Amino acid sequence: MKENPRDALLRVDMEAGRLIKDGFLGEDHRPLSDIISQDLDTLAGLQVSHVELGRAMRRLTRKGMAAIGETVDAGDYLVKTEEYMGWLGCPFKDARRAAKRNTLVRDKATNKEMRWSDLTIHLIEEHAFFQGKGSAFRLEPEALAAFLGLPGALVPQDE
Amino acid sequence: MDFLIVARTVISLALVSGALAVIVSVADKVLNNYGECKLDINDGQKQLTVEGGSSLLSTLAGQKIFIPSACGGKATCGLCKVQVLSGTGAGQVLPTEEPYLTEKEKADSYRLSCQIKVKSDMRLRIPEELFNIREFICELVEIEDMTYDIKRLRLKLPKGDEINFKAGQFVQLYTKPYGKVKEEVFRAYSISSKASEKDHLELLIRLVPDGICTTWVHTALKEGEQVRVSGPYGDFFLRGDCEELIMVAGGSGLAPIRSLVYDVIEKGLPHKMRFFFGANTVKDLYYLEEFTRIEKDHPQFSFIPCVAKPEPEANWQGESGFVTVALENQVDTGEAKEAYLCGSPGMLNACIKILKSKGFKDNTIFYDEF
Repeated sequence: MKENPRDALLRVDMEAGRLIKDGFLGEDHRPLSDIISQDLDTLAGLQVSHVELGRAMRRLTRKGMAAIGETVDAGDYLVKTEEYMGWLGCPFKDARRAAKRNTLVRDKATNKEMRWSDLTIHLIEEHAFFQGKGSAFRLEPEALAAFLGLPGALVPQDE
Repeated sequence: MDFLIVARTVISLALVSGALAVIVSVADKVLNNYGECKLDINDGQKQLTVEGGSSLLSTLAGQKIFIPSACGGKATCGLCKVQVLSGTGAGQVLPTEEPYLTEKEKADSYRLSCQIKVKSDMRLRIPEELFNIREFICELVEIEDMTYDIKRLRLKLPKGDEINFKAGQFVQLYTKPYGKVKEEVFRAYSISSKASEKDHLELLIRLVPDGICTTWVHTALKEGEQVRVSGPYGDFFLRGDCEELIMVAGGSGLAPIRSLVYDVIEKGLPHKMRFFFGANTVKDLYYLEEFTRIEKDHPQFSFIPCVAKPEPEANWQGESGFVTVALENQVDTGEAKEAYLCGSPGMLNACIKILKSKGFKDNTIFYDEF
């Protein structure tokens, strides 16, 4: 599908070395709308929404923020959050900005780990953008949903 | 035979693509040739003649007028606002600007200078203090590991040149292309050196995983290189309308506090100072000896390093626990005090909450948000 002009402009700033060192797209050359719609199709098949995923991720990050730099017990998971000075603007240019904060989460039962930044959470929750294939911060929707126990796990609406 | 057909097709397509590229390039030059444009700034205070066609942000930078920006003109920070009173940018705001401008700002003709092109004469209003911001091509004379992830950069200004800044302010550091980073980017860093030493600057830069500028500093930058900075920027500087300064920093947030402490001492100001410096582990601490010496030499200054999780083998004798705990326990009231904070967003938020619970007001708590 041909990329619309606005997405084409957004795509330029999502490339490596523009806003962040390795960019948001990896080796993915598909139009942004295709990247997003394909991931949304995957989620539809799983009966999970990107908003639910974002909320569940944020809930874990908040647990980690109780003790920055230390591993925090968060029920089924162990969470470690690291913070750095400053913030990153959203590449969708929605005036939202995210703290430079990375969260490492380990599933106690499986020992599987996932890592995300606050910007990753925002991109998933608000824009259904899991990043391009090959991007260092891409989270596969199916794997993320399974990791977070969705559908099924309770995600409070107020978070 | 098939191969020949494919080869012919590929060559034909390449020729067509090349021709199109030339046509687009020529058309861009002809159609987007706006010629000379006049910029009138602050009702005639400055009048510039510039070549049209570039963004207002970069056009002004070319005229040595540096509008603060954290994203380098990519419309993700919303900091580069200027008032466009007439000219090409005075019309309707672009969709890319919309989220960053309040209704009042729109009514007052504010625009994001990175998003509008100079296409005709323009009347602008720019805060006068921005005219003091300059560009410096410095020599990196020292680069030193302060911890495993924080480096100190000492930048020497060109001979005979000097920078006038207020302790606590910051500069923008411009990278050079490296690795996948094909163009210059810039980021803000507080000045850690003394404001009285005008022939050089020192910066403390912590490596941020995947950070575009910090990775350059930590992996590519070498002593002896030329480094471009602009500044000074920011309103994080001493107000001093109080008896005591409560200073809190974590990691490289120590930088502006160091400059502030020296400023108070060198100017002979009477303020008491308490500096709470937070670190996760003992190996995250630095400048310990220096601040301990200042504390010994200057009774007005107290230094409270706090280590959240000291390594057993480090035999740490100081405060253990988060810096916020020490702040909570050791600061009783906000009366006759000002607070100066520099650190990660989580630390800032936690400190502000504690300080407000003790009576500090919004106008007695100062911090930078970059």
